Amino acid sequence: MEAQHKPLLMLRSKVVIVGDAYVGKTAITQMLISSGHNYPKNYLMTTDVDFSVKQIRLPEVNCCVELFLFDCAGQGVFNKLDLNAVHWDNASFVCVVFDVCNRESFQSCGRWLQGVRATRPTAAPMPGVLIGSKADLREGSRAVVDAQEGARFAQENGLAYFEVSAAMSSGVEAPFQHMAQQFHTMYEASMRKAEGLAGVGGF
Amino acid sequence: MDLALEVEGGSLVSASSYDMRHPPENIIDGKDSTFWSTTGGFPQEAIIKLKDTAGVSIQTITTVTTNVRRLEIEKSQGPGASRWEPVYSTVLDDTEGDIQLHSQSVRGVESSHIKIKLTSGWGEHASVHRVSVLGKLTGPVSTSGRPAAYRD
Repeated sequence: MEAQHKPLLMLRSKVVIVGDAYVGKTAITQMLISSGHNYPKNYLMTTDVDFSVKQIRLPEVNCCVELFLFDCAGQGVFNKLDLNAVHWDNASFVCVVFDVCNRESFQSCGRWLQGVRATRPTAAPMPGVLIGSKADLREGSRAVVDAQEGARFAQENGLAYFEVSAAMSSGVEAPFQHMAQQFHTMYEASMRKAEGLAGVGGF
Repeated sequence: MDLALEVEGGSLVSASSYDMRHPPENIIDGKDSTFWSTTGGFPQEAIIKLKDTAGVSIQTITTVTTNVRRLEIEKSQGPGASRWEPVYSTVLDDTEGDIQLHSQSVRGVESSHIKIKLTSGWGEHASVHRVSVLGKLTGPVSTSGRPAAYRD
């Protein structure tokens, strides 16, 4: 029996979830945090921001990443930049969601991305994911944005592309797992860098 | 003397994040090579209890950090450290992960605790390598007219 106890490394990361109204941001978030048990059956518009926490385990590196999810309002009346920007401060990841059946929501992605990234003017753009939602509707060929188009936009903008269906509970965890992995990698990288600075301060 | 230094009697009271490889106590061990790593998210803060004496007067506070954007220093006088007052705040340059060395003269601030707050960062993970609180003891005055425990 393994007797040695290794303390778990806890990392915390803020994720802002943005995108047009009615694309399914809240449905995805609710399915994620309830592990697929709580699909909101009725549409209830998010008017400000919904906050929830999801822990993602990375057992192979003995780490647990807590994702602080800020599910933001998509409706224009509620997302005036100066109001939403409060919730975007100090975000680690941006998660842009569009509806694969709604071209307009796909075209808005650039604007959402720009808005969130503007809160931190660093050289390296804020990482994140692009989520094509309602992917189950591809079967009835009601989708108007195909996967290649989504993947291309994501690649051009330094995001990873995922398609999910909250209604079918498929693929919901994948984008968040991806961000947790990436966050751990970034943490280790900045620790290596800080360790390499030994004695540079030298005052 | 450095009132925050562990060997001088300073101690770390609390910190908002913990990685056993880079614990917050590294801030006051007197070495620039060891550091406290913040494990993600802002704000982050650490509270240092200064050397316990009758009276101290802080002259200069020096911080050695990486990836910090906005840094705030607060003080609290008294054993409970329940009320905090700002001492100064500053926005540090983006050094892309290299050392940020910042020194601030704070002539004669009196305090028993110092809080270092990292309000925002240039990167995801800030590190604090050292917080040095240089001050003078102003404690009981000896007959010679100088503070009894005066050391600079």
